Amino acid sequence: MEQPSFGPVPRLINNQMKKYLLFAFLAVFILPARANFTAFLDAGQLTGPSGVTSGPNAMQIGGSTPPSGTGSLVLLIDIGSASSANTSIYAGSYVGTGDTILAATGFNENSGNTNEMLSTLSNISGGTTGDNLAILWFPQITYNQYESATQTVAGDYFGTYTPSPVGEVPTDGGNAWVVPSAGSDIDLFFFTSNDFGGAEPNSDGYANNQVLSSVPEPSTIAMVGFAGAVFLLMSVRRLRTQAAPARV
Amino acid sequence: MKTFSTKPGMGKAPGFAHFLAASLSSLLLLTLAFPLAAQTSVNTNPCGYCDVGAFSSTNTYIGLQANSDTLVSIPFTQPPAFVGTISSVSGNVVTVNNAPNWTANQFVYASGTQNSTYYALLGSVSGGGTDPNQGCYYTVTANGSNTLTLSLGNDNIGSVPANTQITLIPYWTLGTLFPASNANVSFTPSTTTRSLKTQILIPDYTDAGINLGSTALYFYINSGSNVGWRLFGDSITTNHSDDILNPYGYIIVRNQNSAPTLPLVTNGYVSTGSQTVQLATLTSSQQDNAAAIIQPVGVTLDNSGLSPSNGSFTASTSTRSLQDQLLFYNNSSTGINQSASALYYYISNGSNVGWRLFGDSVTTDHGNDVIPAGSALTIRKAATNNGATVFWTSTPTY
Repeated sequence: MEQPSFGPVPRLINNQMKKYLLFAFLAVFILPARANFTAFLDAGQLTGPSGVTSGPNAMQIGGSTPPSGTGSLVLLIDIGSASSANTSIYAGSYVGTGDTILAATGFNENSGNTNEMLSTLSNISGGTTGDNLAILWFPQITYNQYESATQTVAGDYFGTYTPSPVGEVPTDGGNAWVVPSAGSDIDLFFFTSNDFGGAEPNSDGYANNQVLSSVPEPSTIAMVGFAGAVFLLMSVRRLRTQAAPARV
Repeated sequence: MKTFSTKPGMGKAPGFAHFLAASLSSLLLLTLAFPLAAQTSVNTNPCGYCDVGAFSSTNTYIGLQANSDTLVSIPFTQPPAFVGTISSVSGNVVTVNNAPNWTANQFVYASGTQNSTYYALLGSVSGGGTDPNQGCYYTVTANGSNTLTLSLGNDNIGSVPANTQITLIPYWTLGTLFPASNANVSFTPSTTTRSLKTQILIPDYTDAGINLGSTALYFYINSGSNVGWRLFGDSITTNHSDDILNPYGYIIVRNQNSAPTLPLVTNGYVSTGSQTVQLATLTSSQQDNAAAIIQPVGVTLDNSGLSPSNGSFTASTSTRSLQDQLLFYNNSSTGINQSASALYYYISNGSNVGWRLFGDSVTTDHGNDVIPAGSALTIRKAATNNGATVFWTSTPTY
């Protein structure tokens, strides 16, 4: 009985295999390592815009039990190789382009000091080892609201901090604000001068940035542009018609 | 009893002389120091003490090192409050034999009045038989005059037979392992959160994946009237002295900011029964399990209970595709966030079978390498087909 013939193995398969192998190689050897780490954040004083500590724009103090859900939202973000967080944050987002949220918590005064928080951010994944770290805080949005998918709106205040020079151990102590190797536990410290003699100016703790209005979708821009072009064309034709001498 | 080894990767077993000497007077200590245990049961467990932490290459005790992480486990249990046998089991409620006449909820934590949290350790079956949960422990959530309500998690004790031994033991806590009286003896208090001295880091026992960071940081504050163990992230005034430690796990002692090297001498009861550690696995990737062997003497890999033969440790057929791995930490080196110093695997390839040390010859047997008392281990489980939990039972050979 004749064996069924499957013919020669198509070269296409070999090429595909090569691609897979190349991808596997890239995945293993080229792509940056993903870290899984714990950060112990001690930061203060974090305030609202221009340092306000009372009123609707002030930082809301959550309960002492982590993650202090009724406290203002504080985010730990990966900013890649940038020296500071991207402050062009548009409504509906919590970070700007290029930045990645690694962990979230609520603001508290568990340090015992006014407007100075303590928070343990464990099992952080998604950061890239060696990338710079920053924090963002949103006085008007609580951690619970963030968890329930509340979106930012234009005009929301937020603050951000990254040590300067970026990537070095800050004067306030702790460890470098850099995504560590997997399995590490690091201390992230940030203290303003009005917080028991921190090294940073008070203004570094102000939430002076504001969320921007939404960026129009590209399709919307195209539609508006098209409508404008049609309007312009029609206007030109109308003007030409009006300007042309009457035929006899 | 095995002799101690200085094989690569693992040091000599520390503190055995201390353990041995103390064991001789165990019965006397038992009756004098722990009347509660004597009141409700007969307990013949020996007790002793043991230095844990870093040791030099010549086996000189160093301690919990300055500017370093030291990974330690506690090779003893606290004194048992009760040792007896089970009469029956119904759901998560255990009835014990011989009517101990307990006070209601005397084994339930109540801050300020009853500061211990107890667990029930299940042992062997008196008179023969098999206890499928031997070596497992469960937190006591309530008790009656002769009953115990246990927190089983996802476990089931319905098959535990009558006359299985049950022991009630208080968990080690921060306050019992590092009592206030040992400030500047075994640990250094901090005066501010900005310059933490001795820190106790708790490994991640719950999350998925490998190379997991810690889940909690404790420190001892001594600032005016604010004194005691605190949890980083919780209120600076909330007492965490009674927070419990995993009996089959380890802790990381981090000394920083001029906290000096200090010794940690542990003491307590020697566990003579088995311990069963639940090892999690994943279907898609590896899973780390922080663990320790609760014995005050060194244990060889061959005697650790980790073995392909009982399903607790999956053998590898090649170093190019390692299955389960045992990671060991050498405390003698300094620095924080240290990675494992040795990786052991179990080879099973034709006639080449046994424990191997990664980096050493694939045919050199390391089954007699000793895990020193008080060591920290990570059992890195390879992915499994079903992601089921694997049980590792370790039984003392003494």
